[in-house]
Amino acid sequence: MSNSTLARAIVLTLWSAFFAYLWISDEMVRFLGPRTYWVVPFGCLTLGTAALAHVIALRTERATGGGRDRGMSRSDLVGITALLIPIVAVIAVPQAELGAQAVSRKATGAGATAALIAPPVREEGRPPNFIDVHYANESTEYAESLGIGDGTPLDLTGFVSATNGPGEFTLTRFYVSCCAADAIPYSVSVVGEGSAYPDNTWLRVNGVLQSEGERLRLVAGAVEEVEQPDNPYLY
Amino acid sequence: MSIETIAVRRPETPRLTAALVAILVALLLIGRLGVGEVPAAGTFVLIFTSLVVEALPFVLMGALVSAVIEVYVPVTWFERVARLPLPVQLPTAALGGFAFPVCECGSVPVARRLISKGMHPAAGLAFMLASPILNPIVLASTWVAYSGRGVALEMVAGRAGLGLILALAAGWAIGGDRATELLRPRPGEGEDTHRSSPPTHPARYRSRSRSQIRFGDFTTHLAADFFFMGRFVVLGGAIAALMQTAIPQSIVGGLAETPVIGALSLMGLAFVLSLCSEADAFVAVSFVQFPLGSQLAFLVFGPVVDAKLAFLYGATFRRRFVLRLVAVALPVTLAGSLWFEVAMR
Repeated sequence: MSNSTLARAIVLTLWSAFFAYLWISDEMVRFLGPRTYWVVPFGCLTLGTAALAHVIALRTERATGGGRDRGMSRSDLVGITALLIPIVAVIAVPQAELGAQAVSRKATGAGATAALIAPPVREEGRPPNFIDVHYANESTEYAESLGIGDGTPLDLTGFVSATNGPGEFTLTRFYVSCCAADAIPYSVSVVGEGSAYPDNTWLRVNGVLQSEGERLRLVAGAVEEVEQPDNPYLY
Repeated sequence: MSIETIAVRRPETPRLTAALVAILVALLLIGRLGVGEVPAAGTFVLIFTSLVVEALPFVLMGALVSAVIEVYVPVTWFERVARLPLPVQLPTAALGGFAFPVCECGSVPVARRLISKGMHPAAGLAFMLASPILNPIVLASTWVAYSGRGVALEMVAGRAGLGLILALAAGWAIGGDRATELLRPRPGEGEDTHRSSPPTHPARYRSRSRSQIRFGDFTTHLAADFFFMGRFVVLGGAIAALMQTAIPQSIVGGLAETPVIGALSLMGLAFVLSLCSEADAFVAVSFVQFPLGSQLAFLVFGPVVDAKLAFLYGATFRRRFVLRLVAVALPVTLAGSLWFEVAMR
């Protein structure tokens, strides 16, 4: 069995195991969006099958006397090592996440801290979320259709992405469609009870919406520090 | 028209091995020393890893199709295709993208294999450039993303139409006539596993059935393509993640005033972001300050030329391919997006 083919089979197995870990632990929600969750079990099975097929082919070759002990070429070595880097990076930085720094890089538009996606379909009984408030700020029609405006009660969980003054901060949550690379931040300005929270602190904020100029902000009645939710993104 | 491949196998280099192992160990140590708690490092690792996790199964799918083409599709089939006139091959290959639902990472190895097996290079390129734009999943996601703006049909039609025109134009302009002029020879390819060549190690084949030999060749080609393309996905993903982490996207916000500058800005942003074409519509629709024509430029240019793909192209095609592709893609996309902007008014 040649060194390079053995190494390839090992790396394929490692990737399959990594996908299995993402699948079983639900860690995939940190990397991907709902539209691409299927990639994880698919990757686990296909990469595992590829590794297995590789091993079977090599064993067959060896059993029939065709195996040759060959060294590993530079090209093989670079390819195999390169594919190990993402796995090593995840082990080295296990708590990697999108936070306030990512908001500062991903925000688009003139001063906007959020962006538009297709407006969510109105669902009876569904409480308003970050995206609803953002849309309500952009479209009066949408705000009226959802009944969002002054005095609307709101219960949001997100992280602090900026502090704007004593008790005033921006609460944000990312929307992810396919993967973290396409994450879009949705933010709501909050007027709190005076406490200061460091960036990236996860908070649950209860309060009511209030107009300030042309935009809505959340006047907090209760602010509670919480653990980061299992799924840190909007879905 | 089959490409001559060069068998190059350099001996193992202990110093290179040591250097690569040192890189992996250094990465682990850096993480353990707390660098991972720096917000930018967390952003980089998450975006980098998510890009690779999302892309690798598609690379494997592309490698799988490529290996099937190499090992199981009869050579006579490609000879028949190669005899078709280019005006027939080119649009047929481009429209074949409708039936190949993978992203750009998967279409590159397939196109390479098709060209090396005898398809006209222009037709192979047209297929490679069209499939990430024309495939049904991408068009469906574009529809969903723009349905809230009431322009879903226009954006889907614009994306499919301009994407098809771009694929045909680029294939015709830079495909050339011979595979050897387009494809970069790959080290190690064409060794004893190459089915079209006589076995160079007959002892290896003596006691094996035909199906065992084919299966062995299939897995070897599958792994070779996967590892070859995979390294460039990793490299491109790292560059894209670095740019996303370091460069604020808001810097393009002030460039939205005119359609030309807006389209060029969003094409540059598409290159930097290196998004999967199945997701990019959800990002494009967020650029509300840009005209629809500029957003269309983002949706057509990104799946054809981005940072991640530049490395894949560099490894697959000969020198200056990326520059030649940009020289075609940029004016075609710009002109198409401006026409679209006028038509939408």
